[in-house]
Amino acid sequence: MNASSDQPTLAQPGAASAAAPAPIPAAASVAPPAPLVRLFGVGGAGISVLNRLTGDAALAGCSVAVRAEGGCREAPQVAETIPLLNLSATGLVATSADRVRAAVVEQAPRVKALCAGVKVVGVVAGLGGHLGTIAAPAIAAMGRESGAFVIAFAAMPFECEGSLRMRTAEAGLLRLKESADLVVCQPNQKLIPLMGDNTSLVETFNTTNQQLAAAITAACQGLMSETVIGLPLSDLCELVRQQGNECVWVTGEAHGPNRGAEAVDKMLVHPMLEGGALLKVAPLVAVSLAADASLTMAEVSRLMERIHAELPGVPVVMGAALRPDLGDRLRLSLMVAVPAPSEQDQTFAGPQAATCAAARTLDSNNPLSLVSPGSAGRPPSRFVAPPPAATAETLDHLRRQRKPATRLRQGQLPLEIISKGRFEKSEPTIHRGEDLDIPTYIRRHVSLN
Amino acid sequence: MFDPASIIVGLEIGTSKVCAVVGEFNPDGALNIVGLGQARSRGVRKGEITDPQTAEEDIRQAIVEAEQMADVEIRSVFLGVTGGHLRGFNNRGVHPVVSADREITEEDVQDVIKNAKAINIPTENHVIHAIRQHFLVDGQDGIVNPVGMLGSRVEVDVHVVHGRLNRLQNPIRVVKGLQLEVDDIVFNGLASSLALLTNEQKELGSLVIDIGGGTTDYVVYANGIIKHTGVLAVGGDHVSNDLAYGLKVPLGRAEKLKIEHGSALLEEADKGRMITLSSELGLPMKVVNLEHLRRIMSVRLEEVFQLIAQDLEQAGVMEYLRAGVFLCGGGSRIPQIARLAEQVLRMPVSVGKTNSISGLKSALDQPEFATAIGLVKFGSFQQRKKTSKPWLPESLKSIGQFLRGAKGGSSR
Repeated sequence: MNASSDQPTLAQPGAASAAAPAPIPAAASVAPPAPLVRLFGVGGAGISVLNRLTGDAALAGCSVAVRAEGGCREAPQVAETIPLLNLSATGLVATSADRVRAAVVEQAPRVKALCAGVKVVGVVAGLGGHLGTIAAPAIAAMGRESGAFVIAFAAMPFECEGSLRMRTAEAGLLRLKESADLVVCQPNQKLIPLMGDNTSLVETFNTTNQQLAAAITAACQGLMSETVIGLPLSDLCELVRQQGNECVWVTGEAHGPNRGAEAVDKMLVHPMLEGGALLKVAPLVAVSLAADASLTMAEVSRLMERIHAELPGVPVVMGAALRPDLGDRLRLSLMVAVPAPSEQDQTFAGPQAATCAAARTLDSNNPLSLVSPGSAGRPPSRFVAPPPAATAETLDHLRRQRKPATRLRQGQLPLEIISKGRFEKSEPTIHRGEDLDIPTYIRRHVSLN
Repeated sequence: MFDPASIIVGLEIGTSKVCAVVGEFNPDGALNIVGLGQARSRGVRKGEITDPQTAEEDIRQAIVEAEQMADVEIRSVFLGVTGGHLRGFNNRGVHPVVSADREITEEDVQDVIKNAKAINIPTENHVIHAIRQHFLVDGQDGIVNPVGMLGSRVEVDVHVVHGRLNRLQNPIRVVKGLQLEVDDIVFNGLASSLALLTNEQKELGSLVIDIGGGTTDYVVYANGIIKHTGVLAVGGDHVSNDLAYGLKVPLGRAEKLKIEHGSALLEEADKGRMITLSSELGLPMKVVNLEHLRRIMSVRLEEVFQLIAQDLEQAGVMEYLRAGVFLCGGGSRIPQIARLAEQVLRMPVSVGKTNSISGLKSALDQPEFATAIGLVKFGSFQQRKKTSKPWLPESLKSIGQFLRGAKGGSSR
């Protein structure tokens, strides 16, 4: 075997499929250039998300699946695979935290080799299970050590998956925040409004994975596409980091003459943004546009005017990229920085937050020792002790420190009374809460210059 | 001397026009359109009468014109109805076969149809149509006539169209005020689909969208039966109203602009173009931006098709439409509307033609007469049923009772 045949490059998808880690060559004589982005899908959820990127050949080509053999529902459709454990050989016990840690350490040279020369490393995982929760922060740390910029895309479990899983996921999220430069967090529970009563379990996870895949595509857009108005990821992350490096990334598409307004409307009602409430308290919002060459300045101006009107006082940055493959569609992505919880919130947030805080301090020197068996100890008490009696000095101090938790805004009555013309006195045509007698262009905010 | 039984009249009291079409059976039994009368409608909003007195005058004018053209005396009409209060849904009736040999008889079929028509609707509502779909025998679907088959359980689906009784009575009372009898009331969308679709198109699966002045009615056919119906109380009037508001012109002028310069799609060439409106004296009065005009129209019409698409997707009938979409009504005359509908519905769309009937070429070529022609066609089916079966069908009995009730109502 010659040295270059073992080099984990995108040109040889089958090269890394062996169970044992491949030796890393000291120097490859004709090594292909490293890709700009390297995406690691960790565990079943991470791989499912990467499988949804197959439409984007550039992203799919630089994806790596980190998996436990026999433990994933979906077979990875990516260029590289790193097998961590063999569940079919060792049984379910093999997923214990210790074994996962040991397996990640074993594969560390290979992961670092894959990250070598890469500008951005993306780590995609569903948190809550052993593999994603433990391996993802470790891989993010390795990516950072290789000098790459690391973005973690994490899906949080549904509430119905149990409190233990949720606590593990929250602890994993804290670890990811420490290991990665930017964490894009998707609490799956918030996507429940997108599911109907008859949506199957498989369809539900397909939808959540699709949403996360859309966030990845949007995040990598600035790197992989020709930009007209640049929005450097590193600058963006620096801004987000100042607020606590967690954010939410949502995307929406629209087409037709009124695509800008429609895309904004879709964004404002997106369940991840809590009906627009998250936008109003966000410390930073980044707007990323992608369309073909037909995108006009007037269109961009109208769209941004609308966003500024919806988010008064919120700092907004904007970027635009050319994507000829989108046709007449406009893709709008919003990266919304999640406000960091204040100290007061952490104090009164209850036992769950206390557990997260505990997990943060847990063995912070070893990046792989996230949830050690037996270290969880007793679960926190359901009874909260009464607060100590406050002295006059403490009260005075607290009063001076207190800041308004949310920006209260005075509601506004519509300035223009919209006449319904000839339908003024007839029975209104109400469809899903919308009065169809009001001109459509007004309801859809189509501006007529 | 004409035979009154051979004359069938369809009357549509629309939001923008009242239209009466006279059909006549040939000696060989084929239906022929022999007369057409129309008048501008003034007392109707969103497909429902709001000014009975004015509506009566318009109906009289249309009837007189149709009588003159066909050279007949009109005594009764098949009346088209529509409105935002109309609803359609599917209901299933079940009947166990109790005979010892498990052979399904005509009585079993009548019983299962009766069960399917026993539906739970508000007391103030009235069933306009209960249209039979396919039978199921022991779960086997797609049975056209189960009589003579063996089975232990027979089921049938019916498509029910119902609406508010009081609001359905209003046009009947106005027509009766003109000393005309109402043979039956028919949902406008159903009538239009009868006029436009061939049996093959019904079998393949088609959607008929009738874009009227006040409402947009739609009907879905698949496997030869009606699968879904709907009414959207939005029509051409809404387009004119939007234009009047957006371009700041009077409603009459907006209507004229819609007809002369309107389009359902905004083209690149329209951008920046202006239209100069002149006063009655020929002096320039106002300049209107053509881009704005077409954009206002485009978003309204796009919304109508989007709402229909949403409804069809919710009803799960989108995949049945293999023959495509057929447009009719005055709204289908808007340039580029078929292209817009194609973009939204993502299937072939064309403006429908009433090919399956013979007679006045001037009437048959116009998409806005599809409803009235369909009413005549519906009447011809009823007439054939009456002559072929001496007894009155169950559905007609109920309609007869309803019409008698309406008559009683008017005398009180």
